[in-house]
This record gives sequence, structure tokens and C-alpha cells, in this order.
Amino acid sequence: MHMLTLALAVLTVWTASPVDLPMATHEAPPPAWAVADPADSLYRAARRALNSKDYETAADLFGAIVSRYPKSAYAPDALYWKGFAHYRGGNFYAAMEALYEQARRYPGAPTTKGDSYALLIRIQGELAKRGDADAREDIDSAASKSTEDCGDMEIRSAALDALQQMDSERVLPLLKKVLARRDVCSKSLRKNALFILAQKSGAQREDLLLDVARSDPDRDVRAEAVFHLSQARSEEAVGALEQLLKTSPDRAVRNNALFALAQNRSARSKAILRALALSSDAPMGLRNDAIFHLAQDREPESREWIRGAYARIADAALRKNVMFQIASHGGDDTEKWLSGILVDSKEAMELRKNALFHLATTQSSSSVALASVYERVSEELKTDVLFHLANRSDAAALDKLIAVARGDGDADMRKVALFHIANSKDPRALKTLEEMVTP
Amino acid sequence: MFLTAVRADLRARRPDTELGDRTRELLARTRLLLDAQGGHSPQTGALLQDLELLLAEISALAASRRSVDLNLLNESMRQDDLLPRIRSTLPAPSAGT
Repeated sequence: MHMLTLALAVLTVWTASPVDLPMATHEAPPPAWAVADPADSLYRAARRALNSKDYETAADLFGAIVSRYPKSAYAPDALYWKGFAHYRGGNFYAAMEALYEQARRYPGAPTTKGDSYALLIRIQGELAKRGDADAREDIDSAASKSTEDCGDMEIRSAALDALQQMDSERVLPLLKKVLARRDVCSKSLRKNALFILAQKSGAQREDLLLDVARSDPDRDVRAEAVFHLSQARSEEAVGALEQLLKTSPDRAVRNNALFALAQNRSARSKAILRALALSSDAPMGLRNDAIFHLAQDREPESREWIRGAYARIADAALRKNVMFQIASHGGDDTEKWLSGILVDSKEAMELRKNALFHLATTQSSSSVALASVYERVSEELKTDVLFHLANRSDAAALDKLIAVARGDGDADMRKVALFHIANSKDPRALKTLEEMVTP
Repeated sequence: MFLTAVRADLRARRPDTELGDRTRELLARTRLLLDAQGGHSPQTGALLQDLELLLAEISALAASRRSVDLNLLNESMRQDDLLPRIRSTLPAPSAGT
């Protein structure tokens, strides 16, 4: 449905504030249209009928514009809209006739000429599906042009779609040729060819999508190929995404492949992400992203794996990220794991401080857990533990500060604890200070 | 930026070829979606049909720049509540999309 997202982007322009559109409210109509056109009210009525899905009435009214006011400025477009109304009403031959009439009577119709051709192809596609041999021939001819020059790409796209609808086997060779094009003008056609290809099944689909993701000169087209691979949800597609992740020279493609694999959620895609996270040859950004996606999986086995991954990763920055992701899980097992890092004298001091920070600031962590590590850490970290305890307002934190102030063997630590107690607004803090000053 | 450019072009009455091209691309893609195998729910099908008509109207407007077409377009959008329907049909945005 992401194509609808694209449509939404354009529609937002028009719907954000419909009454505020500049031509409608801030400026007079262009001079040519300020002069009353005799067909004006008929045209409005016809368009309103079309929007109300009263297709028969709409077609009659558009037809009346042409028959009564053939020289009206609305007449050329009226035939297009007449054709559109018939198409919507399922009267395909009448629709085709209206579009032919437009081409015959108003060959230079500036506004809807290209739209008419695209609609005509669509209608012929419907007729071809119903067995109309002439329509079939026209579709064949229009589709075959999709591999050539830079003519109207929407018409060629419609022809490929129509061919896919009427004979899906014959469209594949054409799609291959279209996707092999490298000209800038065929970008939208290549994207639509990808969409049509994605509707098909079979290994050739994944091969072609992989090839486009690797070699198309346009970044959007490559990204769309990866998107369709992610939607394919086949083993072959996962294999193709893995190849892109490992070998594509385009960082954006690799990012998209990583995201697609993360969304896939199969055992194989999870294994690919895990291997990437641990691979010291892979770019750091991708490894970080892989860890992020892996950490979103809250299954116990996945949480266990990511804690194990911390020990297997050498890079300090990456370990920091792994710790951050683990800390975000919360819970008793996370608290226990962070405490383990904190008291591990073999661990780098920066990471131990980091573990303390997460232990102290993770919402679910308790002051009891924080207090319990005090005796097990070095002096440098003890000062930090006291600082974090002082930032907590619960009784357990103050209890620990009081205990340190009263009985710690290290005079410096007692001073630090007293400093924090002196800054506390808890009545017990004041009482403790009074008792210590006047024993 | 694209949206701002559209408004600026309309205000300045510059020929807006980009809007026309973009709309025709979207129209072609909407028709592919309409024909997509696997089908859609009746609601999505109806939404795509309304979208097809609206894009055809925008495409025609981009070329004609008639105020009557613009007013009719505004009318039809209000009538069909298209944008709320698109929003309720689309999946919630997520990272990487």
C-alpha cells in the first residue's frame, strides 16, 4: 500500500485547506475563462454527476456539451470526460467511441490528450480481456513500444498492465526489456514494470528484482526493487536481500535490504541479521542498525542472544549500543546483567560507568539493586553510585547514603555521602545530620 | 518542497508541468493497484476508484488551469472525504518506509 502513500503526498496539497487554494480565492480566473461560456453550467452539472457516480447522466451531459456547443472551450475535454463516465459505467465501446471522437474532432485538445490515450489503452485492455481481437492487437502494438524511445510513459505503462491482465506469460519478456533500459525518461515506466513484475510468481521474479536492485542507475528504482523483494516473502527473496545486504555498493540499498530482512521475521532473516551484527568486516552503521532491529524482538531467546552478543563484540562503541538496547528492555534480568558489567573489574571503565548510568536511570530499576553494588565496585565508581542514589527520592536510596555516611571505612566516601544527605529535603536527612553533629 | 512548489506555481500561474507529470504517474500507479492480483477489500477498491477519478481531475486541471475545474475539484474532495478514507486505509507509518 505504499503507493497510496505517494498518492497521499500529492493529495495533501489539495486537501490541506481546500478553500485556501490560490486560484480559487485569491485571484481572478484567467481572462479567457472570465468570458461566460454557454456550456459552463452544463459542464459543471456533468462533472458533478460524474463525482456523484451517476455515470449515465454524466455521459449524457458531457455529450450534450459537444452536440449543443461544439465550439465551446469545454467541448474537447467533454469528450474525454464522456469517455471516462462510460468507462466507469462499464460501457467500454461507448467509452472508446467518445475518445476516438475527441481525437477526430479535436485532435489538438491540449488538456486531456495524453490522459485520453492512457484511458483508451485501459479500456482496450478491458475489451481484450473479454476477447476483442482488435483491442488485443492494439494492446500488443502499444506494449511493444514500451521498450523504445521516450514517448508517453503512462500510456506504455497502461499497455503493459493491460497485456499482463490478458496474457501474463507474454508480458515477462517485455518487462525484462523495459527493466534493462537505462534512459532517464523511462524511470516511471521501469518503476511500473517492477510493480507489474511483483504481481507475478516464480524464481525469475526474484532474479529480475535482484538485478534491478543491483544495477539500475536510478536510486528510487533500486529502492523500489528492494521493496518488492521484501513483499515477496519467499526463500529466494530472502536470499536476494542477503546478497544485496552483503554486496551492494549502494549504502541505501544495503539499508533497505536490512530493513526488509528485519521486517521479514523468519528464522533465516534473523540469522542473517545476527551474523551481520557480529561481523567485524561489515560497516559499523549497518551493524548498529542490525542490533537495533534484533533488540526489538522481545522473545527470551532473542534477549539472551543479544546479551551474549555483547561479549562477542570487540568494538567499544558498538558494545555501548548493544548495552543501550539491552537496557531499554528493562526487567530483573536486565538489571542483573547491568550489575554484572558494573562489578566486572576486567570491563573497560567507560562501559562500567555506562552500565551504572543505565542501571540508575532505567525506569524499572530499583534503588535496592543500585545500593547493593556499592560494596562491590572501586572507589571511582562508588562516588558515581552515591551520586545516582542521591538523585533518587526513595527511602532505600537515602538509607544507603545514611549507612555510608555513618559507617563506611573510607572517610572520603563518608564525606561524599554527607554532602548528598545535606542536599536532601527529606526530614530524615536533617535528623541524621543533627545526630552526627551532636552525637 | 514539492508541495510548496505546487502552491507557488499556481499562485504565479507558471505552467506546472511537474504537477501534471507527477499526477499522471500516480494515476498510472493507481490503475496498476486497481488491477493488482490478490484483489482488495470492497472499501479499498472503492477508495482506489475515487482516487483514480480525483487524479484524473487533477491531471486535467494541471493542464487547463481553469478556476471552474479547481472549484469542482475542491467540491468533489469535500464530497468524498477522500483524505480521511486514505488515512484510515493506510498502515501506520513505520521506520524505513
